[in-house]
Amino acid sequence: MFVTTALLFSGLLAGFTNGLLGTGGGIILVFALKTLYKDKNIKDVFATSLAVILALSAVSVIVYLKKNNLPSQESLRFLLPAAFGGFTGAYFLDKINANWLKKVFGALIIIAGLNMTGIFG
Amino acid sequence: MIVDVIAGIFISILSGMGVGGGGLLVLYLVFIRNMEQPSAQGLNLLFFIAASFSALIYHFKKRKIDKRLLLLLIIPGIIGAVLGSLLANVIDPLLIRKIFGWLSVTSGMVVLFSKK
Repeated sequence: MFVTTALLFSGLLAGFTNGLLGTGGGIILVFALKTLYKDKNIKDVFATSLAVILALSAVSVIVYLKKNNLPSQESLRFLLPAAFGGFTGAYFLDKINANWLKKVFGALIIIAGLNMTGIFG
Repeated sequence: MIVDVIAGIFISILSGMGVGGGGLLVLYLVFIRNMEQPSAQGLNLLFFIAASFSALIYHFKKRKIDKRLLLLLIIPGIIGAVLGSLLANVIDPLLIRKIFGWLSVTSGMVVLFSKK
């Protein structure tokens, strides 16, 4: 019962975050699933999270579209690269140790994020 | 335009490898292409769908995905998604940007200070 409630809440939160910020739902779901299903294979967790966020992103896209916040002209040039890159990246996921890359981009994201918060004016 | 395509490839490969989470494109669009925050997010969602679709087909065949679990997450998720998306398109873009900024800082720190 607790697990069911926790799952429902996690789904709600993940969808909300994903819709509000255009990203981030996956982090919440992976964390929730790893916590609630300690023995589950992490790859199954990722796959489940991916499937859910895919569906929720589709829903959010429709709302953004109706609110005229989906720049259709710009979108097209990114979609094919996305399909190509997503597949290619997933292929490399198991083959390359990207830890140093993650750290580099982690730092970059912090800097960019700090800029966005506006605390530096 | 060609820069966008190259950036798109680069970013989606990184995301596929688990680098940078889902927000890299938003950062690119906002900082380099000067796009408005809500529009950048909308595009990012579409981008994610395109990037993940093929990955998901692969996963569905190889991995065990519990259908009941999917429903338990997706159904409330849809409610959340509608609420969150509506909010994103209604409140001040500057506020959304700030929230996004704080999320970015937090996730960046988690990555930097994680044990591996």
